[in-house]
Amino acid sequence: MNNVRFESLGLYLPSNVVTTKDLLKKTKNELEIDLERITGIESRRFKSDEENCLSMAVSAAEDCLKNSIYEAKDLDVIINASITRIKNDRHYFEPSLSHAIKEALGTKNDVLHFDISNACAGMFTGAYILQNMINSGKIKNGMVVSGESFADISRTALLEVREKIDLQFASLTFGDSGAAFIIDANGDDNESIDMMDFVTVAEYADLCVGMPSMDNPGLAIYTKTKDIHEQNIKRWPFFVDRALKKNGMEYASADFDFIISHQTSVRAIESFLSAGEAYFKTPMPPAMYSVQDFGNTTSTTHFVALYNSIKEKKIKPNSRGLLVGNASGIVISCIAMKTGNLNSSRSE
Amino acid sequence: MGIVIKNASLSLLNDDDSMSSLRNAASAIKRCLEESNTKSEDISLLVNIGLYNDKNLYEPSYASLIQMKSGINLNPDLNDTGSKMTFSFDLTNGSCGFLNAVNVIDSMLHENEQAIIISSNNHPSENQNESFPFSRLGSAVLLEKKNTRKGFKDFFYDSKNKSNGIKSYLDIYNSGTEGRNSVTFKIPKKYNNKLSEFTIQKIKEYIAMHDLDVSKTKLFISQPSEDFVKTVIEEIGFNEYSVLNIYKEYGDAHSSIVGLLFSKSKSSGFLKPGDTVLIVTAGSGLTVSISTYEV
Repeated sequence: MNNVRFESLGLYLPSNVVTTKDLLKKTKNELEIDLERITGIESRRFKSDEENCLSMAVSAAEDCLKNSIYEAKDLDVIINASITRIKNDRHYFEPSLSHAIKEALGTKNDVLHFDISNACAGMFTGAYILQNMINSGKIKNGMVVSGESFADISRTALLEVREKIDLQFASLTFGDSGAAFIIDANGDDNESIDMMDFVTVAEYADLCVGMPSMDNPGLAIYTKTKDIHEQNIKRWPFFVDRALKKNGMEYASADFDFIISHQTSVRAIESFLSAGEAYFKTPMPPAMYSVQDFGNTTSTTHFVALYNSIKEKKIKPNSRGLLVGNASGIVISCIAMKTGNLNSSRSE
Repeated sequence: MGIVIKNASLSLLNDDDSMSSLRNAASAIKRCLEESNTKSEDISLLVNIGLYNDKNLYEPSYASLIQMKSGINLNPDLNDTGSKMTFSFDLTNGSCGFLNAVNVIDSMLHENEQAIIISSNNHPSENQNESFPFSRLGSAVLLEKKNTRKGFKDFFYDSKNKSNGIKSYLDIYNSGTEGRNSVTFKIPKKYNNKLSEFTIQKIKEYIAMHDLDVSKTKLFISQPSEDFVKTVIEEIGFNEYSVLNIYKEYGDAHSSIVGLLFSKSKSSGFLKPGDTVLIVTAGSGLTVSISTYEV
């Protein structure tokens, strides 16, 4: 078996900071919602008119390459994991966004590239694909990249949300971003992906559905927030426990230094941690947050938190981390990793 | 170890049925599992490669909704280490999604595990919209990882750097409140010529690379037009009887083409044990994916 690892991370956050207070001033209907108190989200970034999913994805990919030993021409695979594929107010089906990313980065022509879509589990899914392709000897490395433009979806929610219990309420928590990572097989005892696992609990696949609105021009997402949170929260510890044991590991002895969950709201992360504490009968390791400053950045959320936490030295080199994904589908996923010098020595 | 096709099945949309690509995907999967006496609970992976979803749904993955509609391992007991589970996701790359998905699945399955690749396209309005350029059908392919030298091998990919060919999109704001019923296609006039030129060049490279004897090889190829297939057959030197041409009957099956061809060859006896099939998919990008399949 190879020592598969996250070799480098990349991030792009648009410079346009939109506070929750300013966002709520734009709602069409008068709302009596203290969104900041309920979610803990103080601000998020929204793309400028000149930016789009492709430009944010490419910026993140370029940042990732700066932190990497690889150049674009060295990559064997490029996977785009964006939920939104918007450019010039068009949501594209063909050609694949991965093709445009490949072209912008200047990779070799025969790089394997495709798009995957798995809601907020998209980048995790890409990591899983790369891990398996590397372990099977098909490739040596690959990049997963995502550029998410959820400002378009928040815009629809601003027009349509009428009350706190509203199917588009969660759309007010979104933020835009780009994120990327490279995975290769050159890890060691301190820098590795030790476990990755996924399940789709499809009984609840329709709890969060994204499609165009019928009331206003624009994309919308309709989320039964309480239901999807409940279904995810009660399952994740069982699934992580099972996944660790399948890989010959135990939660207690894994001795995680940090945990990153899906960044939907501070309160949701707190109840996520409580569920873990109750199941594993031990305090959870320090949780890394990005949601307060950047909102729910959907498919990029774990990697926004990971990137910034390493940069801010909240995560030290050679740390052991547990990343848990909860996405619509519903998809429960987990990654146990050791950071080694990920984005530390190389970026300085 | 090899990744082999256990079964391939079709579900056709016609005027009398619901025109939902989601329902049609579930019908194709049901048929595929029934015909092969496969229990749905034994499906470890479900990969959707279709591109045109009902109502332009973009979240969650269409695969998870197809899994839901198909009733596959809907709510596994995560506390039971023996419970069977399914992982679903969408993998899209125009016409080339199928071979990309096979290559990915090949690396993800363990021996005797099974996966389904599903492709189902229709106009998002779920109507028979004449502007929709592709076949309205669902094809399901059941794959199994076996201790064999048969199956798919020698995957090859290439794409041109100047984005060319089909562009399809939802015009988010210009479609007004009809976004769930709208999709725009832009297909350049010389698209098929450029695509056939690029495809022929890549097939020639592949044949040389793997020393393939064309006279002993059958061909499954994307069929965006009748001329495209004709040109490729002539240029490469394939005998027309070694090519399964379904364009007249089905039109451009797009991402569903490989599943459609395997399904048709099953009913017509086109493929026999020991056959070598060159599988070529080509589409927007321009992008070409090629693999060989040993029956």
